[in-house]
Amino acid sequence: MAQGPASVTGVVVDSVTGAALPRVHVVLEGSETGGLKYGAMTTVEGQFSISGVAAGSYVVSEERVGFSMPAEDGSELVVRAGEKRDDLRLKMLPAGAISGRVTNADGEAVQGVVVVAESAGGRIASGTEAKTDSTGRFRIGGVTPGSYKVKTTPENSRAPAEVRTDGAVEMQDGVTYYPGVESYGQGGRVVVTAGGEASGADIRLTRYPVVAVSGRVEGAPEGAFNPQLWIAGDNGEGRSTGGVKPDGAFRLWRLHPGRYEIAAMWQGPGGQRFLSVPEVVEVAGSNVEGLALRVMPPVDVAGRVEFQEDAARPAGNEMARLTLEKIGIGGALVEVEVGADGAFHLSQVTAGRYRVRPSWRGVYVASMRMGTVAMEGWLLDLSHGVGGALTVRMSSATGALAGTVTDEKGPAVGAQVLLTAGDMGEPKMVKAGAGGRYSFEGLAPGKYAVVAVRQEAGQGFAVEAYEGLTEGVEIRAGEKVVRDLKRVAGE
Amino acid sequence: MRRIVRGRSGLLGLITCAGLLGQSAGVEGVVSDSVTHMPLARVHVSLVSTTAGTNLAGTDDAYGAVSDEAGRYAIGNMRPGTFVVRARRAGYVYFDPQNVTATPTLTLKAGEQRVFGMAVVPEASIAGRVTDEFGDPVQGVAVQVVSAPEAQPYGLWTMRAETDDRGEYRISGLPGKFYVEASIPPLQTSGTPEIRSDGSSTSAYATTYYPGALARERGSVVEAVAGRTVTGIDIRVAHRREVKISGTVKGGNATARARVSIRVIHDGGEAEDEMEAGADGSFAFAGLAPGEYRLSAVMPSGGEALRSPVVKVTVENDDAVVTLPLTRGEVMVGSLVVEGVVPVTLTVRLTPEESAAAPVRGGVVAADGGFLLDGVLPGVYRVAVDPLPGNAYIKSVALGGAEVRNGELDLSRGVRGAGLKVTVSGNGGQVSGAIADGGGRRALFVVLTGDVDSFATWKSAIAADASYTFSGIKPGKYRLFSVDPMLFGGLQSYEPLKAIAARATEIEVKEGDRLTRDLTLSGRDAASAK
Repeated sequence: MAQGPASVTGVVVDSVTGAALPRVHVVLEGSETGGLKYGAMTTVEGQFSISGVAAGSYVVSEERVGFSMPAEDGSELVVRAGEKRDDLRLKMLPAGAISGRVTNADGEAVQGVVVVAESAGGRIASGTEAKTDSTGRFRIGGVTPGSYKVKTTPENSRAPAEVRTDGAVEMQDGVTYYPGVESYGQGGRVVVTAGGEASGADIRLTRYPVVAVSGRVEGAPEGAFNPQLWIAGDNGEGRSTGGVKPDGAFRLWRLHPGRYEIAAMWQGPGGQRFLSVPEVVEVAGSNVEGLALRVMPPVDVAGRVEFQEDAARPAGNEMARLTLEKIGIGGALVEVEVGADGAFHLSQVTAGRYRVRPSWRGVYVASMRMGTVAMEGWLLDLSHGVGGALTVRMSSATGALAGTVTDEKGPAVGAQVLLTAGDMGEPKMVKAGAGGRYSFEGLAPGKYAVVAVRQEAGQGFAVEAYEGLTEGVEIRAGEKVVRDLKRVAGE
Repeated sequence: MRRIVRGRSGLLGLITCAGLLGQSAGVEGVVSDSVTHMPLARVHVSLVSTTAGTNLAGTDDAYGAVSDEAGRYAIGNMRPGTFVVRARRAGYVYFDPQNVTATPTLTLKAGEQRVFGMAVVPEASIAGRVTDEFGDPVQGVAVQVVSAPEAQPYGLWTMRAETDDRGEYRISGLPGKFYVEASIPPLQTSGTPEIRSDGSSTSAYATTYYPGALARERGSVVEAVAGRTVTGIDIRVAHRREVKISGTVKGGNATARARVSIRVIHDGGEAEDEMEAGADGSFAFAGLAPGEYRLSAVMPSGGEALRSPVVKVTVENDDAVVTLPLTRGEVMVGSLVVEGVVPVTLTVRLTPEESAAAPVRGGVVAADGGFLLDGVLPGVYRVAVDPLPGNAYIKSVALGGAEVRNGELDLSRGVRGAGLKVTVSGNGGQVSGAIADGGGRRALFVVLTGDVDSFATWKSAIAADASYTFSGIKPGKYRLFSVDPMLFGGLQSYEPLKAIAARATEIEVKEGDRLTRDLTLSGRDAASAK
């Protein structure tokens, strides 16, 4: 039986021409936690050699500017002690490009517009980000061959709408998809072939009147100063800005149409922050007026945790805490200790809506009650004051979900499995380990959506991108569900 | 009732009878190409109130017009005020030629009709390709210009772009003479180090100046010309030498792990990284570019954490090894002497010069003037006393009997039993006044400098209603001036004001002085083109 370190050698070729590719960076990354990472560069003949490899399960990847890894790559490589693997034949796809010209509704070239290529449900971009030059032209390079929609985001000042002496109303260029429509769904597809350039992706920007959201900030606490407005849009736009006048009046200009959450924040003399209750606003074709942003004084909440089963109690050496995570703007995190009798006391909590989570394992929030009002399992709404003592009922009847992820080649080691449910906020993600196995534990009962994907490092997990590709799975109290998944490749 | 009035300057306006006749202001002029001097059509001229979008009282008025075929624009029926001026058209940049770093502004009084021509500059462009030592394109590198020393500062429009998949870039902006920099941010140490057995290098690229110099002064100067593109500005990046800083954290307790931070200041700002030391206190940061780094360690330990002082390490060619000793810090005894009357409880604070260094605890002054500071780590500090009501000021500071100069307390070798003596006088000077051409309510900056070269001696006040006050001034000679921060593109530091400070009026403040000095703004409206 061979012992000692193994070696892995092979060749990397251009998937279109079959020619050997020099100076490709090949990486062997261990798929278990604490796994080692090996690398090599291919020679002029496209060959690479990695020696001294410890036995184990690895994921092979390769990179070179101007090329992409094919979707089916990145699969598992199991290396045994003393083995000499010399049969690796890796392919890289020459990247393509998208180019075109951006003009406004008057047919004039627009400079400085950011152009990106989006795929798989509209949120995953590929290729380099491009900006239009003074003739309105752009080129997005390094695009993995595939089908995309092209999105433009014009530069936007925050200035008020201009009064024009000639009576014209100032219009604003909007976020636009090729060839000139407002939403991803309506956008036309641009197909990029390996090594090819999809030219002629010309875009005519949509246009709409400049509108304002105005109102008044009220209830600023004694001694508070420097009010800021925080704006978070469903379209991903988010910023904080000044613009609150000494009398509390404000006017926000040039928000793109969409749904926004707006709140005001003040600084206190001791460095504290006061946040108003966030208000939701729909920006469409006309001004929104009279938005009142009121700070609610922070509240004290007395409460008690009830344990549905004995197993729901924290173990002797576990910290017993509740974490309240604020939903929406001004994301704050409040932690409170839970006494041995289950009692806790929240003091001076900013008004708002919170997700309640236990710190100890194997439990979930089954239900809550504030005074006589029952609430959804996990959502605590403190934006309208406190209606009574808070009771939080914990149950240990959590569920679990596990299985194996495979693709065309077999076990998909390193695939990312995303799990979401309406109440969870951020999706949970685990990586499939050796043999393609994954598992989620301690899940609250309910309906979930799950999907196994492979994403480039650095891309965020926008679950909306996989709409239509996810599987529904129902987890019941105390149940373990086994579900094997096929890794999806995206569009 | 509305009348159309055609004034002497050719201004066309719609004016109501409600008495705005005397109030309304206007601007008109011709926009031209600064190179050909020909009038330019379709230039979008806008004037936006400087208080728009700010928390200051004042309007959020905005006016705009588009120049016609003769290059002429006219904006009427304006409320008076101060405005930011912009002239936009694809392929052009607009700036005030007399003050390249400033945002052009214009102040109009009630009823004023101004003629304001603008010369917009056809943008200058620089294009090229970034490749490595094999001639392969390098993607995602930020290319930007840095003004060459003999040239004017390049102003607000920084040219900057990232290389694409062909390694190509194109940057546009103001004409001028520049170094072109392909910049690679430092501290990109990735998590798991990669093991190579084929002899290839894992080291990252170094920031390189066109055509391939590691030091800016050895780069070639590129002249960007209005209306033209300079092509072929190709940059060859080289792999940088990589150094390692490793060491040990000493003095902690065995049950916890220390956290070691490393910071480096570079052209683009600051970069920071952190790692957990081993159980034996060992740590290592690999893959670092040559430079000056600051390391410190902290270990949670019951109530107060144990910390090390900030250690500065400069690495060039060789790896460095450092020791980070954890301590609770020393105790320093002091006394506060008050001359005159200061009727509140005072606290003495030591502010560390290194922003990342740990804060010092204690300092509350007892009735007999004694105070105790705890957690003092080796380092350099500034002494402050909190609060200083009325016109109280710190008259002198002495450490171990020796007078401290410039307010800098050098404890880099530790406290070593030295006592601190702080003298506060209640009889400082006061200077106040109004800003003569404050022109309405906007934020003005007033500065009082002691030593022009030492920013630590500068005091500033914001005059929201065109008046200001400085209290608690230590007797001495000062320079006093006022500026509109908009003229400097918003002030991030005092640096752009040094020249103005050196020329400003000098005043002498003596004990107990109550001086009134009215000021006029240094700086003026943007220049109008002929």
